[in-house]
Amino acid sequence: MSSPVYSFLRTAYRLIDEGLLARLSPQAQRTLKKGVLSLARRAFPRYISHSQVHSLIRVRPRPPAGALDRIPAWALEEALMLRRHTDPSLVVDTSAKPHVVQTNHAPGADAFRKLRDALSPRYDMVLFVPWLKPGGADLGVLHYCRALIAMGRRVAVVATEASESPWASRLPPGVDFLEIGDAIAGLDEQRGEPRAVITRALLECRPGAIHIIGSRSAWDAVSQNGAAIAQATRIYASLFCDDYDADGVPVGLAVQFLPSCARHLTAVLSDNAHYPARWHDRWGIDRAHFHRVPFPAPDPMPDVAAMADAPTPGPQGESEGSGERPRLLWAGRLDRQKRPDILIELARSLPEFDWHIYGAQVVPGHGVDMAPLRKLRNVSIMGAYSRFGDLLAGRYLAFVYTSQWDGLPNVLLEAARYLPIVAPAVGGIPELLKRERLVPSIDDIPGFVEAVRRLHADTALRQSWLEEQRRALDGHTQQRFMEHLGRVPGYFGAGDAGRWQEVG
Amino acid sequence: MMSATGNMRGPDVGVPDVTVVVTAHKEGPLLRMSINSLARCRARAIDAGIDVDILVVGDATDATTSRVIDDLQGFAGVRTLRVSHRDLGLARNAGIQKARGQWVAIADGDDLYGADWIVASMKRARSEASPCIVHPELVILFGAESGYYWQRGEESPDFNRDCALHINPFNSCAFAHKSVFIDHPYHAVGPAEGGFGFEDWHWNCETMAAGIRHLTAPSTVQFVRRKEVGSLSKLQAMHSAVIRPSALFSAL
Repeated sequence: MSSPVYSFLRTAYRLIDEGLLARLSPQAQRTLKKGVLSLARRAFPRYISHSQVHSLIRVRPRPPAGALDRIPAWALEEALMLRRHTDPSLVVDTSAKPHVVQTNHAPGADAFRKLRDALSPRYDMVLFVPWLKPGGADLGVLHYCRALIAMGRRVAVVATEASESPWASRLPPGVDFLEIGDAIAGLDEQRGEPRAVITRALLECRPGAIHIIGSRSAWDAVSQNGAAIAQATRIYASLFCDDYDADGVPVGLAVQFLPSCARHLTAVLSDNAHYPARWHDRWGIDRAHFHRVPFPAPDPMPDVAAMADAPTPGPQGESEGSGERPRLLWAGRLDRQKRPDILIELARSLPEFDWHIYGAQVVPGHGVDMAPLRKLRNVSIMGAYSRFGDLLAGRYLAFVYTSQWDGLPNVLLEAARYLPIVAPAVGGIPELLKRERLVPSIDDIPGFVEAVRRLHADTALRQSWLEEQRRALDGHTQQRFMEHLGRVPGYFGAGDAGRWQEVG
Repeated sequence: MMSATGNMRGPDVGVPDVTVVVTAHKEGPLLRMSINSLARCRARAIDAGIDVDILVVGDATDATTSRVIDDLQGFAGVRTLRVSHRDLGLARNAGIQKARGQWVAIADGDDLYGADWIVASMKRARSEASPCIVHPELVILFGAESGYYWQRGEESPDFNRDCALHINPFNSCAFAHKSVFIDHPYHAVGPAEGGFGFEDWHWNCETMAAGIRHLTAPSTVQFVRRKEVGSLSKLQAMHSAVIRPSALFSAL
């Protein structure tokens, strides 16, 4: 539920924008609204975390040349004649202001041309993403692309948000990458301008299939125009889990788009079975629509394994007596989903351990205040990382994972081969690790503490967990990934299925 | 009088200059008022030396509309044609094929027209050296929704055809040489659930792509009836219809 204060201020802003700010030049608007947005984010982070200044810029088109703002006398005379002799119900509202048909205004034309030209080679698959940054879903994009390239498909990736894509360089050779975020950021979402650009490009270019992975603009296009798009293009989407707001209410892309889009989708791909089951229970969407496609774990790295196998400091490590304290590793995105408050409590509750915290804020607007963590003497904030394996030089006792909700976190696939994992039984995590060894809930601090101390005290337990985790990774090989993907109808190509047929 | 086609009816008016093709489906009494309005247009045109016939295309009409069409037998300058396409675009094409005039005007069976519409449109079209399509300059909405808007043609200095990406720049009321309609038939719309619609918007795009200029006739007005229920445009909007792929967007 929106706060009354936020609702009032939002309404006030819109009125001021419509009446005054939108008349300013785009540059003046950008300068002014950047400051306004910054203040608003601090005051209401829950409500406007996704907003970007580009989307607030309004270009106020002028009425076309020659458009009059009144009904001329000759037309009123015609109306009167018709009313007398033909249709008495013909009542003309002379006080009305004219609708303006903006034939002199073409928002998004440049963005459309850019996207159309990029997609004109007629790809077998076009993946729509918000961006390509370090993250599980982004890694998933790379997996899908590699699989499609391996099957000889022509592939393009389109990033639809005005944000950098540092992981674009990781796309496999042969995949074309296009960023349209800046081009569509200034378009009016209320008027459907971004989705009109994407819809029209898809209708004109007719790729064999599209796969939506986190792109809100692409979801919006399918939500409104999926029936038309699906006549020539198969539509796939990846969804991993619900997000939740501060009141625990499910939010996110599945909530916003799955009910309206499901009938247009060829399949929904997920890395876990937990959330598809929930969505089936919530909306009655056919279970056959959902396909669990677990992502592959990274291949074993001998150098990393050697580091991981090195003795760890602590009561049973070889370096006992060296004065080294045992260490715990936490790595992931630093946002509220990962419950940094729990991390703080754990660090306080396990003062005998040194904590190394790796990660960075990735999603704009989802960051958290790191100050409380920095103040803890047994915590070191290590910053971002590019390869999980590089972290293992730290010789950690265990990998501790905190998350309020999740699909099947990729970082667990990375850690499972090398470190015993202490994690909560949320989302798809029990599909990788046995439920009985997971902490029952994210808020169960004693549960986390007990698990860590047991691992610290019992080398055999650590080894047992590690072996169990490695066996679980048998279900996360590249071959299994390709097999699962191959079972998704038409993902690697469907002949004439879904091709547009001439009507009439 | 039955024509050789078997489903064409109406007195022989010779070869007119203009055929007004009016499509009807479930308009009932509204159709009669529309025809009465067009009869005024016809009378004004005849006074100006332009011979006009009105071809009413009944497409899978309901009983009420069928009776209205039947009552038009013997109506001066009116012929009727029955089809079962259940598609506005295809119904228009059928009427255009049967049009006897060199020029064709497209009208809807529930709207009203200013008396000078045909005369002014013919004058505008004939003033151009190349084939063109002429629309009413002013559109006034009445009924369930009131309002009005000016249509500005490609003669307007700031007309930007890229606007067709988001809006239909002209409504369905159009006047042009018959060859324009024959060379560029309306596409079938298909069911609203299929996601495509707005056959006139698509036709406007296809003809623009073919280089045919869309213009407006000065001091002409169309009165468009907005209905509470039964509106095709509302149905299409409800299904978030978009127009089919068009050559205009390939070349944009």
